[in-house]
Amino acid sequence: MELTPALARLMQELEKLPGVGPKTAQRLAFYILSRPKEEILSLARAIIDVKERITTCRRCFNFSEEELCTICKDMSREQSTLCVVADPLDLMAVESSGAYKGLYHVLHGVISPLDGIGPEDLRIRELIERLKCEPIREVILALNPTVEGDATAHYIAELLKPFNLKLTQLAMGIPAGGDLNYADRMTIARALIGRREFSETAE
Amino acid sequence: MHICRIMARNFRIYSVIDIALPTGIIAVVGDNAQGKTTFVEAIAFALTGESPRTHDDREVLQKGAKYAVVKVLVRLEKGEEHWLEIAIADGRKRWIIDGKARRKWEEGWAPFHVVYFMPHEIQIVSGEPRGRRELLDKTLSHWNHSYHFNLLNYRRAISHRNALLERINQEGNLTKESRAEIDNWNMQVAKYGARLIGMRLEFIQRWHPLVWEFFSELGGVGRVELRYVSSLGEDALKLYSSGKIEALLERYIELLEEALLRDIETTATSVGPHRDDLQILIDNMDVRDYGSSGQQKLTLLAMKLSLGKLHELERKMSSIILLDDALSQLDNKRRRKLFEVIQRYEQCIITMTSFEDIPQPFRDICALFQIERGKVTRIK
Ligand SMILES: [Zn+2]
Repeated sequence: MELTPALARLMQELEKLPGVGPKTAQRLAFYILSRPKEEILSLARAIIDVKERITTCRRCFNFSEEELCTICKDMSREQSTLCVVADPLDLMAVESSGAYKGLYHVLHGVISPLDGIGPEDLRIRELIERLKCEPIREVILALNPTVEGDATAHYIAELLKPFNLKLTQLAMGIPAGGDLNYADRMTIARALIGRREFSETAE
Repeated sequence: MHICRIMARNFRIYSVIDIALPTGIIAVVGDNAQGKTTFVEAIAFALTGESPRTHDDREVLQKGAKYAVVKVLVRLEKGEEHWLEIAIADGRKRWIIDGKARRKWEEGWAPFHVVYFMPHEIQIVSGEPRGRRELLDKTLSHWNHSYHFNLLNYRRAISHRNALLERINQEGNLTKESRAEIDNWNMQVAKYGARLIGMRLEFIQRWHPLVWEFFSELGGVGRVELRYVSSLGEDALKLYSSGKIEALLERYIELLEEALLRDIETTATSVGPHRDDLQILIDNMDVRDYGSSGQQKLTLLAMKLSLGKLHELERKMSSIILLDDALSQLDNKRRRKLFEVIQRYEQCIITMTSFEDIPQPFRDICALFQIERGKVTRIK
């Protein structure tokens, strides 16, 4: 069948999504075409809204629709504990474990010179600024146990030395080289509850 | 443990291999370029999932073939039998046990070790440090998951540090910020690197007396010593033996700092286990520079056979011995000694150009296979 230019363009766009190949793109495009107009407009609007409304929280850099995210606004959360994560997905993973009631700081990445990502590309400076003015007593480094995650944790640990606070990391349980995102709630909860003093050389 | 049968399709020059193998010593005889090495390679490939001759699996495909398969039927000590199969197709390798796909040969599944000796490997003894590091890395990665894991992380950390060196090199000056980043990677590199060095040292300490033992048993003369030579210097290694990993780590970081300007210039990390060497000495002489080719061959045989012994002693793993062209350059006395050693194993496959190469009385106890233009047949 000859594709109309509009259909071809839709398939091209869909194919850019992660995990979507030509076959899936074709299926999705035909599905979209087959649905009632209102339903598809609502999907399109949702996509536009997400881009237009969502920014990052000015305090913790989590995704938010307002200046402060819902977690930062929630005064019932422990204001003295700060959990540092690489990205909002990791924040969601920790949050869904239900074992954590403190605040977060989202770095938006990890240090990775191979990808051209240095500390200045992450929200590390902002983290330091926060520690200067917020009453944080414990910082939990909840970064993935990968070479890059470890390097980022160590870099931050060095910067936090002048601050008089407790620095911890997740307990074992997240498999080495693994990803917080793929760990189940129980594993994350156990890793949080069993968190220990940060050590540079621990395996 | 032994192999009862080997089957293969489209493996290099072999369109088909299908032959039963007896226990004991199997002499595989054939002229050069008839497929002896490939026969040994195919067995090693099925047993370990890796070719001892190449890192590129596609090379084992017969010209024009879309896939290659090798499988061996192995019988374990208790009589249990299993098919181990490796299949290459569409650029992918599959590991199959008894018809079921697996993720590699899971550790602990098959309690055996493969000792193979191939002529091209003589460069491990006679050539550049890279070959000896590869032997160490390969052996230790199989020996211990933690080594394997650290090796991968170490290589990644080195790549990051080198990428950073490259960036600093291009920027043309070392800012305070870059310095902090380098310090951070120094720590990561040293953390993984020190563990690798520690595990290498401890392994060599246990391995080295066995190498000497086999070397003597094979008729070698002199005291064999394996000495780990580190780019971190001998002092750093001494620190390790006295203070273990922490002391080594501190010194390691100092050395990375000292090397920084040089490393920025070359955009490569100049110290660490990826630059270390395993020196092999006979009576304090480096066998690489001073050993005759016979001595070098004997040394490599001793290293390989002793690894089998170490697996047997420490991990209760039996060994399958595969020797390709091990007899040339050995005199009759040493050939006899080699046969005395290998007859102790349940199964040994050894290739040669002439059956007469086997000294008596061993000729009488060997099974004899002949290889001619890619066809394997049993003669006796
Ligand atoms: Zn927030």
